[in-house]
Amino acid sequence: MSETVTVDIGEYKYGFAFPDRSVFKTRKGLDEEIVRTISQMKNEPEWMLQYRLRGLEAFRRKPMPNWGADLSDIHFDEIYYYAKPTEDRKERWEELPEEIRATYDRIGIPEAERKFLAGVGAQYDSEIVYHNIRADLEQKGVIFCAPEDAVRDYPELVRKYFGTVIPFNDNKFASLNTAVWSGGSFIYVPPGVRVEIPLQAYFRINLESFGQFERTLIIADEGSFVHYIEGCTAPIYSRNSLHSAVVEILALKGARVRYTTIQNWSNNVYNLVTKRAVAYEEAAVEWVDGNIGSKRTMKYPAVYLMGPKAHGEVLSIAFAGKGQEQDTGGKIVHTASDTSSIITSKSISKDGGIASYRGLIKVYPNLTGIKSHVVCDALLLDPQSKTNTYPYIEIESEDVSMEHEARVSRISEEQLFYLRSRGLSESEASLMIVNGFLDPLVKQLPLEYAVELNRLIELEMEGSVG
Amino acid sequence: MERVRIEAREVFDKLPWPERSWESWRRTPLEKFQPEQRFRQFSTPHFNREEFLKTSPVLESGKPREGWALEVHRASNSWVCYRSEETQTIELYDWFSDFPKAATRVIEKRIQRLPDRMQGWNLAYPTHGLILKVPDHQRISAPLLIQLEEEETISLPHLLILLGKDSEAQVVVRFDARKAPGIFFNGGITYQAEENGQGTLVVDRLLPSEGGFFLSFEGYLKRDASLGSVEVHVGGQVSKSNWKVELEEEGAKGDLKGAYVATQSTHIDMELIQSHQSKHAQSNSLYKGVVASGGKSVFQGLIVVGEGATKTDAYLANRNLLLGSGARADSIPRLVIGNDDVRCTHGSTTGKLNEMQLFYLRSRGIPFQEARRILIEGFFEEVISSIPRVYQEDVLNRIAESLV
Repeated sequence: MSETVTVDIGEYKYGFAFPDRSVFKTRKGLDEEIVRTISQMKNEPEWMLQYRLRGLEAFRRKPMPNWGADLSDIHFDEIYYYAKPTEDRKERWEELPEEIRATYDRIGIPEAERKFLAGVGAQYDSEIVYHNIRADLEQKGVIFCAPEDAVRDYPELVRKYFGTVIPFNDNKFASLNTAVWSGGSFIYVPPGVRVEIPLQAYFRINLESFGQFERTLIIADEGSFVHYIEGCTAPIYSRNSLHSAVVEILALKGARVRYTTIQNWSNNVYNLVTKRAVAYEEAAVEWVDGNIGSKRTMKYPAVYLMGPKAHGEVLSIAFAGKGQEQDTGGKIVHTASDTSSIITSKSISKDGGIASYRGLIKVYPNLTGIKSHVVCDALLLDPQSKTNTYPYIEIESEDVSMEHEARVSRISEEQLFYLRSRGLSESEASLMIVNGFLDPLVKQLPLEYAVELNRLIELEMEGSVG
Repeated sequence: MERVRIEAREVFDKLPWPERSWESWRRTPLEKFQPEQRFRQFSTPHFNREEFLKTSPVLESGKPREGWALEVHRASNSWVCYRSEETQTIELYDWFSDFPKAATRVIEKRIQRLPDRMQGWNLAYPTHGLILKVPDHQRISAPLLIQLEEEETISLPHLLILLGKDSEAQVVVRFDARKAPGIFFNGGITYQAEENGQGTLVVDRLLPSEGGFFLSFEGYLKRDASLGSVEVHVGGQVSKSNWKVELEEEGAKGDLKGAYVATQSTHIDMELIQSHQSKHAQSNSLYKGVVASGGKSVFQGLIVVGEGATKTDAYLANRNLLLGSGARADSIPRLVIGNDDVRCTHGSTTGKLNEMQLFYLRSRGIPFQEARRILIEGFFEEVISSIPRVYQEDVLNRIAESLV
């Protein structure tokens, strides 16, 4: 049996680009003037400008991380930090410029909206160009809008929560985001309201050497539920782009938030994202994080369990192909008794790709009834590929049940032989085994988002095989 | 010997002192060691370092105690050896008076791999040391004991254990520093097993209530060679160990265990590296620890598999038992895998004593303290069973005493 297994993940289907037709773009590089310009473009109140400037100062002061993926190829001075694609925001797809509409048509967003989404936001480079939410949800008081609109329309909510989960000086990239953030989503779900169908945002980078810095803030008030899905794509350019988002989630007492990411950036995008949630008493936060694209990803969605009986969950899927480094994982911090957490990570490396799991489970002192379970599975598809596991476990309470396990395996020759003896080609057999590897995870996903994730993984795997 | 020392000093001069920002030292209270300050103190002319160098060859003196094949004791700056008939062929050398060629090659390899000045200091400026060589084809059934009584406040011993082809030996190393309160101990052990050399190595240390213990171990395993090791860390103020096993050739096998107990104001820090450089090698590790109120343990394990190390079979496990509140156990079991033809897994669990089992024992009339002791003994059984029988009770008693 040959050493190489050919599961191809094929052509990147979203690599097309349209010419730059931005109505406004800052010059390359970053300084105070650029931050002020961005703030001015958005007609922001003074407090937000001041907050941005504090972020800029922290960004300059903070060192680059000395661990994780290789980031030596990021040149902060070569990046455009802000580009405005249209004059204003639309609520009907028909009103968008043709090229932008064509982009979203090809990605399949308008169709998805009709079928199974309660609200959609679409971001093109720096700005949200399209936004819509179902009228019945709006009537119940659900807010789903661009964060700029929230700063203008709901300043008291924004000031109360913005930057409280991830402070401006949290890390270099969160500081950068604080300084130049643009676009993203703001969601507020009033007490007791359940948004049964998901809200979705779609992030698209069109420009070369561009930095996208969206900012998302989700507040789920007591006893509410919301599911948010984001997707990301970009064209293939020779020069690198940077995507550095900050996502903050607050799940108040008894609330449940599920946040699903299907990251499919082209392989010239550095994806360095800070995502963190706090879950209060009896609240639950679930991160579902699929990383398929990008050149380098460093992303470890976190849940801070702040009240008794809170629950946190991270499901992570990473696919590292040629030239890619997926440094992903999850962090759970137990600060209250009777809290529980689960981290499940599945990664696949192929064509010399590097998939790393990096995670943290931390339990504060003097707590009781803590349960945590972490499983990491890595599948290597060829001898050149690599996988790493770096789990950090810090326990300071006695009444804890903490389990961690990790496995590394490859497609076994016996499995391949069996399938081939049943008449499958080698690539069909490999695909079947890869699907089987991911199956225990995909099965856990609710239908509405399994549709999205399955479609992506199937597409990625399919076109290539045979 | 002089050549080795000069080489080690050249390497030492180029290395940095460990820093708190390093991953492997991030969780260690470096201020308790203060290696740089200690080194300055050590290097002053007032410190009577030359005293250590007044050494003599290992003295021979009668038979060992029952259960041991050979005993080497170090006290008052000299080595004394007690040996039985079957160990007449075992070669013992004092580090400064007699340094065989085979030892030079292995130590030179170690010197080239020194990561920092903490480990470098031990080989560049050792205060005492011993070389133990088991000749080819020599198989010794009873264990060998090397016991070092540390009397000085700065102690830098190095032990080199060489196992010849097809040889077999069990070695227990016991560092006893109870008579040296406030000691700064920086020890090194290097182990090499030639083709099909089968070794067992137990390292135990007895510490005063104040002082820092640092130990670095490196083991090199040739074709089909093996090492079964047990690190025992019970009590003391602060201790850190680096334990690295290189499976250099095909068929090498490492079975690496650890037992540790951290009670009130004890910090125990262990780093374990299972490094697979060649095909068909196997490594298995199991580190088990009890951390009581006010104690802290850190376990950082790592399986590294090189690109050519196919058919690797590696397992890494860490189990922590927490007793009472205010105990802290950090567990970081890592994998770095460079090829796809491997079977590598790791597991880590942290929990408390099983209440059902405790209840069962107490309902049978066993007092709480005794029931707890039985359960803890059971918890450590898998590790303790790898220690030569004659030494097991010593370790078990010390574990029990530390938890009263």
